[in-house]
Amino acid sequence: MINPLFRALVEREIKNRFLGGALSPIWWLAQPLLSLGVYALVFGLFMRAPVPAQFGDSYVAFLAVGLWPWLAFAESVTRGATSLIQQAALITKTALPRAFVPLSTVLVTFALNWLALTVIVILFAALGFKVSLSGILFSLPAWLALFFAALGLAWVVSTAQVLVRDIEGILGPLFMLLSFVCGIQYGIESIPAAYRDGVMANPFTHLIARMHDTYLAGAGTSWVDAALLAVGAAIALIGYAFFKRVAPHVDDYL
Amino acid sequence: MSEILLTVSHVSKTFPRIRRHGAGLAALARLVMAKPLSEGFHALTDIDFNVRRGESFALVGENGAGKSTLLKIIAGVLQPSAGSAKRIGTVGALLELGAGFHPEYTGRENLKLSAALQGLAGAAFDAQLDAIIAFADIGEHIDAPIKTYSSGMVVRLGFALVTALKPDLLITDEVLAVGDESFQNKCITWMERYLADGGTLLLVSHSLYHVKKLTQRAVWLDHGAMRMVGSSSDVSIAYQAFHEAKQAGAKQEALAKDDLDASALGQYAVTDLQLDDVTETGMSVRGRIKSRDGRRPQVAVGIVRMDGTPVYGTTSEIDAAALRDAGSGAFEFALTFSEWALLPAGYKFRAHAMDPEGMRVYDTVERDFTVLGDSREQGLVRLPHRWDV
Repeated sequence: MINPLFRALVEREIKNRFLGGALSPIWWLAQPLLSLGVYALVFGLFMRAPVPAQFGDSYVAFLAVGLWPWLAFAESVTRGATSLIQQAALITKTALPRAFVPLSTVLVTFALNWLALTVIVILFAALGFKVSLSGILFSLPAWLALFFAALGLAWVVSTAQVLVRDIEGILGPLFMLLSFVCGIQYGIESIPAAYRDGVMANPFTHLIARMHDTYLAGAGTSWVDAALLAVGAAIALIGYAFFKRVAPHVDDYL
Repeated sequence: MSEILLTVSHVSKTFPRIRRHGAGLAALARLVMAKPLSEGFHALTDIDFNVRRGESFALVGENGAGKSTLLKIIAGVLQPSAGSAKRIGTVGALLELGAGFHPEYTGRENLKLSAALQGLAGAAFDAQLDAIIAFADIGEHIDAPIKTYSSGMVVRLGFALVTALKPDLLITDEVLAVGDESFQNKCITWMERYLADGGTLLLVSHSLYHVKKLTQRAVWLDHGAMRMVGSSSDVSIAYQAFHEAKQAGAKQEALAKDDLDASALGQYAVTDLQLDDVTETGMSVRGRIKSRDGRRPQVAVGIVRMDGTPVYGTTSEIDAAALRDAGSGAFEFALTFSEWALLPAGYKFRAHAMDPEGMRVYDTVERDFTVLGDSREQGLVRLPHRWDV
């Protein structure tokens, strides 16, 4: 049984995305498609980034299955950062359980991006690209781990943002840097060997690799999923502990 | 005794002083370490009271006394810095005009989330929706965004939702003042029925009339501290007296400059004034006037409200009463008021020493007194009347 209050909040969050703006009804698909187009143009066409052999020959497909989960992560944390401030009227005047606010933002962002990628993957398969439909199922543990990580971070930055308003501005460049060092736009083989250990120490690199393996190479489950889920869950728990400490007092600063 | 619905125990609230550019990393670190606030603005200090089922409660106090902060803590919106507020049963809160409503959404959409916030959702909400919309009585506006509403319409919607919730404890913060007369009456009627059915109200109001009409007990908040707690009528009287005295104080200062002939001459002075046996129906007064020239002075006596509004005045000269010569220039007077019709409130009794001709006031002494009671009648005195229908 889903908490009816949480359900109402999620419904409102979904409506928010589709309210106003001419492109709103298709924005959930159009925005990532535009990003995909930009990256495909720069890295695929101009810079001719090679696709690792085991992932077929379509740069667009390679890019898409790494980019969408990443966008879900980056967008949900960035939106989460301002979620408490945006809902200030609600949380300072009603007894709304505050953890629901970033949670609904992250959940809706992930749901929409997951749906978009699923549609794209099916579309790619129909067009004859080399993608595995089984990846829709086997990528789920990696998606879940990513969701947990995003949720934990959103709980931290949403409360921190109330007191230190610069945080949201730092997130943009930070996520851009991160996106370039986890093998989304090019295979990590393209990164000089001297830096590769650093890149491999980044859990996101392994997470994106799981997306490539499942969606493109038809891989099944892996022990890496368990490790990723453990890391994600740890981030979520730490984030929640942080939130529990700070969130009851944000009224004083909103 | 009925069960306790709300326990407010030793609640204090301190707000941090906010600098212009956010609170900074130091404040964040303090919260994460769960350290208490070292200094700030003390909005509430050691508030402590209970509310029992069926025993409605009012909060009165000047602007900035901490009433709304206390209500927020009671409603679970704000965390106290110390102490706790424990609630039992369902709580409905009307804290502010349109609190929790989103301006971009329609009245109907807002009702859904607001109702869920107060614990009404799903089929139970759907079943009540028509009744809520009927009570709000805002016609087709229910499907327009809230940002197009007048403030009165917003209040109607908020109150209509509360009528559907029928909470064990209803918390309202001066929200009735916005609606028009007929809607106010509708709300008051609803509240009276709610109270008659065993509901409990926690009310913030500047209208002492509503306080006396709707609640049994009250607490008076003054600069974040409890100044008085007791029956609504006692607290109302004390609070009203405080206000009237405050206004009178300002008036007195203005008067002081042209009141030169009071004790300046010192020919006749009131040296003693005592009020005894003050009851709801009367009192006795004794006093003494010193006459420097040994001639028999006159005395003027009067009753005014705390703000200086005259209620009644007379003199020994008008009533042809002679003061008793007590020797060595002292003259005594005594009089009894019986069956007066003063309404419960704070008053001052004034005695003025006058010359034997009753022409000029030489001295003024006053004493405060309070007529107790819990009448909701308005004005100064009860005029004899009879209802013929």
